[in-house]
Amino acid sequence: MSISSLLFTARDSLMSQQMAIEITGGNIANVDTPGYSRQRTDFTSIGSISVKATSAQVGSAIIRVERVYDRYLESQITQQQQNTGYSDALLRGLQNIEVMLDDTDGGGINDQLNKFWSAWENLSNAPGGKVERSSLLSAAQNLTSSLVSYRQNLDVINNDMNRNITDVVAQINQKVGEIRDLNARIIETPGDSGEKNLLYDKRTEALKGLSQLVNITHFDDADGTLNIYLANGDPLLQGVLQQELSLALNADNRIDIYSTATTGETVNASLTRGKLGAYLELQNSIVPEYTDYIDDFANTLADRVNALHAEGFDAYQNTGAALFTIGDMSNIAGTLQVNSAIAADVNRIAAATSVSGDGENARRIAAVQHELLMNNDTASLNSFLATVVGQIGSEVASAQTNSSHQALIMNQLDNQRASVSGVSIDEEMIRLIKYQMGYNAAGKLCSVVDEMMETLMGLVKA
Amino acid sequence: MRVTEGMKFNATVNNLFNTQGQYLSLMEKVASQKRVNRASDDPIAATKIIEIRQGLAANEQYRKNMDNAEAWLAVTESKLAGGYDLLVKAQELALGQATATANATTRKIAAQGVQSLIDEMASLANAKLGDRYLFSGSKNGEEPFSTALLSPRIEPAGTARSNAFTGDVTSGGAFTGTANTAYAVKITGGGNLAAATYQFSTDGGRSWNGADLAMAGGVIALGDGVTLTFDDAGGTKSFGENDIFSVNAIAGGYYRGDNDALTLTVNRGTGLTYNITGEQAFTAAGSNGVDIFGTLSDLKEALESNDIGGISGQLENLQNGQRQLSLNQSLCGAKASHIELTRSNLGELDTKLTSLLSEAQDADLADLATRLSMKEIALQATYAMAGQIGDSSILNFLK
Repeated sequence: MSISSLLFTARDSLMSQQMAIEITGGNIANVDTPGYSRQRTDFTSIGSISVKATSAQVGSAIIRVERVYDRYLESQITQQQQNTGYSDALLRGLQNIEVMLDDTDGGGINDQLNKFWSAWENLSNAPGGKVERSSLLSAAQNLTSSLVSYRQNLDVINNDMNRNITDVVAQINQKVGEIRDLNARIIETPGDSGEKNLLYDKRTEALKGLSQLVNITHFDDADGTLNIYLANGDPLLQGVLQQELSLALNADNRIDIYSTATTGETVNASLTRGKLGAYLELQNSIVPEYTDYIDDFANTLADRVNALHAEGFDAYQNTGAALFTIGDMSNIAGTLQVNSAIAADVNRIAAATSVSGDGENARRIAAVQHELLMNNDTASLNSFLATVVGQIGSEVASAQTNSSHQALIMNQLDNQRASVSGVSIDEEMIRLIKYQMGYNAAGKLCSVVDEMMETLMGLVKA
Repeated sequence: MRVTEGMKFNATVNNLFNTQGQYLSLMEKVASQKRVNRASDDPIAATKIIEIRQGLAANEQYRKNMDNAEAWLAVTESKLAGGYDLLVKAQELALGQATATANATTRKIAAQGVQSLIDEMASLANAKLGDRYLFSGSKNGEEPFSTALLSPRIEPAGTARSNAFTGDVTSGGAFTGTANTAYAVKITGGGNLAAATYQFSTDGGRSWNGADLAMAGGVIALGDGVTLTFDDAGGTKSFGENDIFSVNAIAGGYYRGDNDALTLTVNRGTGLTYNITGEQAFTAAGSNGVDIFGTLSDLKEALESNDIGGISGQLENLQNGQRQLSLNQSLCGAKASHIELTRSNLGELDTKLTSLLSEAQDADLADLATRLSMKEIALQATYAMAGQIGDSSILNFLK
């Protein structure tokens, strides 16, 4: 044991404390970095001196920089992110449909429909009236153009979904690519260094981002790499081997998603959560459901009115031609129009039940508003529309509840994570004081050793 | 529990957003004064609101219909009252001229008086409301009453404008029916005479005979002696499906209109016939069986021919004619009171619907205002908290 070795002890201690201060500094600097896990230094004592039979530890070193995090919590967050992404995207999509269909303020299709029935009643009051006929024509045209615009709006939502899905799939591929690159770097980086911790943080953050987009399962491999699978078991990432998702537009103008891991078969069915899950559900079941409602409504309206219209006589004593024409049976509401022959000549409106020209047929058509034609003959056309509005309303309301519930869960989990892995300035300050004291003490040790050396040298001189 | 800076900030920001969101939603309700601003605010109420609004719109239309019917009935009633007065005048004339104090000259003069009564009666019976004859039934082409006696006849055949058939159609036969009838023929299978099939109607097209008949010979009998003859120019003119041909047959007398009811919807599922046909009011087919124009012209004739027996013979008819008109007048009154009743029912329904609508849709302002000010306090508290978030830290105690 020599005095000079004391200097080495002091040096090691200075270096360790300095490093601890650096780590603390890093924590403080990253107090606001999302996904950052605070780091802790593991001190250990090194070297020993033996005096007679006993030995004592001298010197210290930092053997590893530990990343404080809770694996279970992180995987819960990943799991819940899938639900959050799903319920948020679903809510926004449903709200789009709601805005379009909502008629609680009036002025929408229900009003147009009421005006249409009123116009028929007015015509029955004055079957020969040119004004009544023209106003019926414009009521019918307003009604069809409302239906057409409803249908177009639903198509716009469908197209939006196509764009959204395309974007999300690109994001998924990019995120998986990011994780693949991180996997590669993690394999290359040896030991438990701070650098590796940084990579783990980045990867966890990327995984969270990914699970917001789509439902996945994942596990850590023995070599530290992260493997990611779709719900049906198709791999997205195995080590550094990425399987990209690709997409194709199908005949219904909707998007089918394919994985390069399996060929020919779409993986749509297993994409049920995350943003992508919501978009696919909106596109494949919710939007078509409302499209069907509108089409069903348009078809029933046209069928019934046309049938009655054909039984009546127009002002030229001919039997009524079809009032509404449907251009394309696969897009009924979108191609519903007032027969151009009738639009060109309102005398072709068949208001009469007899060749002598009464207004009875107009009265009969007006009474269609009370006929139970929809929902297996349980609802009138008007109340059917009201029910559709009610339905989208309740779907939005329940999506809102889900979304805010999900937000609450995420909030709770984020808090828990912040509690475990987040940086507390107070704590870091106290640690700073502690390490500073250690550093000062080690410095003092140096000067004491220096004095001891000087004393020793003085002995030699003397 | 370990509390980190991130938690403090998250909690503050989340609470701030929550409070702001609730505040905003209350503000929207206060500003719109509505509880339901979109369907998702209350889906059940939203459905109700739309249905109630439809009910209100329908009621408004029923009210309009009733306005129309009421106007029609009021005018009809006044015309019938005018007719009644004319008959009373005719009766006075007849009574005066049936006595021995009258002579051939006074009767000639009285006959001219009756003629002017007939003209006036005709102008009443041919009165219009808007562009429709009051007493014509559903026919509106010509004046329903003629002042000269019409013999039974079959009018020329009518072809609908967009018929495909361009050949000649002629009506024929001698009408043996007792009421004016509109016949219609509808082609149910196209082609020339040999191929075409048709159905016919004896009520103007409201109902059809139900079975397709062959055109074959080109002459079809529609009943009561009425025939239609089609000429396809040797098979070169074709019928199109749904071609319509019509012919009117007049039973004679003074009336050219029909006995069709004009109906308006005055309430859900309730139609109200608002017209009195000329047949009902002025012809022998009417409720008291008096042909009013016939009676007047018989009286005129008797006066002209100085026939005392003939004059007094019409007195009873004139009396009955007055009853017939006043009966129809009271019918108008009954219909009008039906409308009144319906209107008041509708008014009650409207009040109920409006209050239901308000209940479903309108916001309780007092309640909202209270909640809004409570939220405002909460929001201010959140702001105050947020302002202090960085204040307490160990940093304050380090030199």
